[in-house]
Amino acid sequence: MRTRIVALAIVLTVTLPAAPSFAHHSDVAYDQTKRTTLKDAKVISYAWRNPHGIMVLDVKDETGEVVRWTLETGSPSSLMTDGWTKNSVVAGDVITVDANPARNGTKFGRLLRVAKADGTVLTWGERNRASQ
Amino acid sequence: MTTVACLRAVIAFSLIAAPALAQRPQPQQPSAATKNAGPAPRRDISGHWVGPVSPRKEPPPPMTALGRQVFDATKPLQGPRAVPIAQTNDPLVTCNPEGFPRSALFETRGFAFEHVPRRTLQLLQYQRIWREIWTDGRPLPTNVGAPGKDTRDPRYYGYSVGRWADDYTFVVTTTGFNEDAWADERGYPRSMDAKVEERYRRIDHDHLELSVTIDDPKIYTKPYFVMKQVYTWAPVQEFEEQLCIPSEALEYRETFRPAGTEK
Repeated sequence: MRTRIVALAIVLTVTLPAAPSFAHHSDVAYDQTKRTTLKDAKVISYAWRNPHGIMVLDVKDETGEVVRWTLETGSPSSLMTDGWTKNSVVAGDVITVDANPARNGTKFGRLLRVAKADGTVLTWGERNRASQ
Repeated sequence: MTTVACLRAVIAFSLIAAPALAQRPQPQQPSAATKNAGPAPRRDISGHWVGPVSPRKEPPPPMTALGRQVFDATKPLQGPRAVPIAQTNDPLVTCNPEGFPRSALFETRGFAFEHVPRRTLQLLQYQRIWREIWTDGRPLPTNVGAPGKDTRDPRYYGYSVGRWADDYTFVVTTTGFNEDAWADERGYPRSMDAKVEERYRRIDHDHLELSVTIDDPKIYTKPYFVMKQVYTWAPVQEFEEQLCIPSEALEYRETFRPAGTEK
């Protein structure tokens, strides 16, 4: 019997230099000095809309428990500038995501980067941050 | 009205009244042909222009006591006093009108001008709204918000008149504001009687420089030169659909409310 290997999601948090604000809305709820990686996250839903997109993910933590994360993304206008389309991320995708986590420890964050299973990498706002 | 003028009016109207466009994957990027831009046409800033979400702004002069009082009451989502979305009183959070001059200082990713008889229309990508800038020589109203008959109501976008300072600089003056709107996304105010000057200088075919100054003695002790920003000719001379939709804005706020609360 083939052993099914379930890759446990690994949540990593590293400290980054502070990055300035670039979003339409306030990002003070998020710790811009930290970058959390949500590995093998399953996309439950992704609302491609203004003012910011809402991406809901299920991620397994170190104990195997599924944890739900909610991330905000850019508006369609800003994401398209970064090469996204409405169908870049859809429900059912399994992706690895980097995000600035909420300062208060809740499972919310601001999306920074998506790595898809096919090797595609999408970012939001990295160009803006680099230019400021 | 000449044929050309009629055609321009029809184009302007169709831009205003056109049904929503489907979201396109093509982003609006600043023009790549910046070094080889042709000369500026004379007395013409028509066309679509693109720029940043939020241009860099100069610090304000000292505020009056009233200005400080109004400013202190605002809880913005942007700038050094930014608060989480659950705590803000930014009118825009529920898609209330952005108003002017905020529309010239924030969400300036796309706008257009059309010169038509007696006025110039500014079309704003954000929220798909327009401003009428009268160029027929009329004065600005002096009785906005005054009691009695024959007065004018304050407006979110005020009353605007425009003139050519020279062949390449179009100057717009606006007054008569509804004070519910903020002057910018940082929560700075402007009073009903403020006079805001926009100077659009067409540098060449592909570049349009905008300077904004707020003259508002009720709020600021000196005229406030807010910003100078260069906008570029949009390669795709067409707006994206960029709407603030109340139901979605409310869902966004409620969804992320827990992220901004004390734990």
